Amino acid sequence: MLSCGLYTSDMSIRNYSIKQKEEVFEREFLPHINSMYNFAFRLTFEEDDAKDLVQDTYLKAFRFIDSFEQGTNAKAWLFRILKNSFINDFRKKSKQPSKVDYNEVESYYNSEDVDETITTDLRVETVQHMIGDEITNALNALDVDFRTVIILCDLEGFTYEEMAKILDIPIGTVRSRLHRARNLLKDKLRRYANKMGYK
Amino acid sequence: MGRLSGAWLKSKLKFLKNMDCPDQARCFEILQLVLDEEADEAQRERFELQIKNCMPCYKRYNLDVAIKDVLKNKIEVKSVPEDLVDSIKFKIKNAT
Repeated sequence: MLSCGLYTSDMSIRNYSIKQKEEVFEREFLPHINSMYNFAFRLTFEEDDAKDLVQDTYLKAFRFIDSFEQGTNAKAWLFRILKNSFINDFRKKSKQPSKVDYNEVESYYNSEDVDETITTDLRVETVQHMIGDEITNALNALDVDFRTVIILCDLEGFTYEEMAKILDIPIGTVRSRLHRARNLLKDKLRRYANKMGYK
Repeated sequence: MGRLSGAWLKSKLKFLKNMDCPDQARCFEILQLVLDEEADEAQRERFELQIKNCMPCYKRYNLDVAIKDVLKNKIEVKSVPEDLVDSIKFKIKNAT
């Protein structure tokens, strides 16, 4: 079975009629197409790839709609399918597997010298004066796994619990990955600010 | 007196600014929970106390809030291609 269900411990299969399936699809899935397309674009950086990824995700969602319980979190369910499709299809195609060593991330997060002086010279005003492209470039420069947690949390507003289900990782790992991702993003922003001579 | 106080305050602030938080790993963890609205009441209380008394934590939190805000509000939102929804619906119709 496709591992797209968010609530695997509580998963039950429904038998929707074709008409019901179309109604659920229209009412619960399609309203999230903007977020889905933007998530796909921020993962792939290509409009055509983003389009294919979203299309593929919606087709899978429809095919496995009987495992979706109406009124539950459709957006998180769709994001999970999209993320899995990206890993299984798109990332393999691009031959760019994750280079992140999460054990290293965990030990970094738990170490005493975490955060040291990485961002001491980045100011709030500098960040506020940056334009959208500068923020986007810094975000896009992050490894996809770090970029993903920032997108899910800060752009899409998912809770840690939802992120854990979307990404298939424990909540503690969501927190540590997010923490590390934000430090890396700050470092990119600081370097950018220094390069541009921002005060 | 006023001038003395000002100079003292300035040097004190400079000292605090350059000082590290003595328990930063734990504090930064709580700052993140508050930032993401995931903190419980006890963590929130500790946070309130911490940012009043610790300049590095205060600065860190304000920076984190600013970054979260620009991420949310300044990154371009792409428009969904016009034909995407129709294309999805068409493929579903053909598959059923």
